[in-house]
Amino acid sequence: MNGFKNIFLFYLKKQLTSKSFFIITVVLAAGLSALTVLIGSAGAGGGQEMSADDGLYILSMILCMVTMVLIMLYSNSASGEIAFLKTNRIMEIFITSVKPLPLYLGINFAYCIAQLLQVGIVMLVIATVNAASGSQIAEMAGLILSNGNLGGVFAVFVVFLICGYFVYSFLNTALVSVVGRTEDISGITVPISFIAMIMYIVSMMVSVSGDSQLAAAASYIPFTSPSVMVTRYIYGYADITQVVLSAAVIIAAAALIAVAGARFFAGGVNFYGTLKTYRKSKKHA
Amino acid sequence: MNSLEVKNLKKYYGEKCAVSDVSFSIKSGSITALCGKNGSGKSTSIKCILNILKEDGGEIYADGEKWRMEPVNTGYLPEERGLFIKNTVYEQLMFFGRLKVNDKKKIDNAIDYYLKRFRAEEYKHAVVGSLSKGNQQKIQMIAAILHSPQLLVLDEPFSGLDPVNLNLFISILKELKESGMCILISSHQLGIVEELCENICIINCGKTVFSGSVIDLERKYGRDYLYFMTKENNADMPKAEQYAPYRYRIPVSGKEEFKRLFLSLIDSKMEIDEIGKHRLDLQEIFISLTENA
Repeated sequence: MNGFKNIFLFYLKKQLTSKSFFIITVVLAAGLSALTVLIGSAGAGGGQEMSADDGLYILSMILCMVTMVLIMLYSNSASGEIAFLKTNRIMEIFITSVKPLPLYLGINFAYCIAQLLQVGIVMLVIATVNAASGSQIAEMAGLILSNGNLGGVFAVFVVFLICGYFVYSFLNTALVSVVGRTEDISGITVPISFIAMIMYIVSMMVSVSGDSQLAAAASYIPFTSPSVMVTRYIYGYADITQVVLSAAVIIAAAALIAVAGARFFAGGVNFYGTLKTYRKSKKHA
Repeated sequence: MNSLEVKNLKKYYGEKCAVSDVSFSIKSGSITALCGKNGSGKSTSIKCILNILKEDGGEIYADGEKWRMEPVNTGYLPEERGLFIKNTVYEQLMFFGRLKVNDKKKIDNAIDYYLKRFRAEEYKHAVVGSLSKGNQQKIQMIAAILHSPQLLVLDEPFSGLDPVNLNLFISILKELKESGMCILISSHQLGIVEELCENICIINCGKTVFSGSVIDLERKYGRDYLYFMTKENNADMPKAEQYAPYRYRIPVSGKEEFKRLFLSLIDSKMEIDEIGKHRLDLQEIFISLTENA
């Protein structure tokens, strides 16, 4: 517990004080604030009114984009940190200082909290800027949603963002633990990133073409549900029961990946090679 | 912990056998050196002791019981630098110290003590990346001993140190030895090993070729030589071996042979600049044990 707490706090502080955290927060907050103020001002009669379809499209696009970007950014950052520890031999000091599990969990949880804090700060800035500018974005969003529940949409977004992050991050960090060189990381993380892109594409298909069997299936697959289910919920294609069921599936998947990933990580951190040679070494053991 | 014994250690990397039969012991209050050629299996043996690698054969015992590496009882200085270069010295030492001992005040006091002892107080709030290689080595060493481990394992601890800091490291290691720590050093600097270590284990091609005290090693493999220095290129003496520019040596088996050769050299027509008796040092014994394997 001591090891987990120290590692968690160390990496959380490292993330929150990093330049990239500051830059991304500023860019997201500024960009999304400007966008929402523009749309909100249009709704107040400042220009041509937006249709409900356009509003839903913009809302789902923003949330999907943010989901995909944050999940990929933070899960790749966590796995990048594991690779950094190994290539710089700091991993050898960690292994003689703490068991692998606190390190595995500490880094993954620290990056998750950093991600949530970033989302929180951005949302706070957007809300403040919109309130100060008299924008009607919140009312507009409430009107266009079939259930009128903007707060519910954000709650679903946050739950799936957290769970989606853990699915990708636990998997990435476990697989990357075997590599001994930074140039080998992309061989592991790039294929996983393609799955995240599929998640985004299917979400956009829902926004453009409506619900489908593919989208319905994808909203229960842990690797694609983070944004597909949120999009289907925004458009009213999925009700709260389906959302809760999908959430249960992704939570269970994250837990399973965490358990299997922790065992893989414990062996991987002591190994310097590639996934292929790791499998070979296990055969000879 | 009073002693750590490694018996018949074996480790494979895939099909390649890195360590086939390594045995040695480390005792409390003494320093044991682990020496070998590059690729002989030293680092692999160390990593097996530290649980960084799982051994494929052999056993490790601490005080007669099966050894289980506990982070709180172990300190490790890796061969390559393992520091976060963007964090300050204090942040890093506090982080690594608290991973082992969750007592902030104790670690804080230890950091202040060792920074002063290593003459690195001015770097307490400096970013590690801004320090020289030698100073980073000091910080790495402090991180290894901050929590007063029972077993201290140092892989090439003297690399990157200037003569003054080398002396400092040696004196601190002697203090740690006096405090009862079990210390294992892997080093190629055999002159320092000879000065510092009571025991030595020489590994060659994954096997122990000698394990015991340095004195026993020198008694068993040390040889006496008559050496002389002459500017003349052809040393007109039978069995004279040139071991350095203008320096020659002849093995002798006793006082009488030494006296006979000494007198014949004096009587020879060569201009001798220096002459005397010389005993094989640790480096030369090491080379003779590992060179032809």
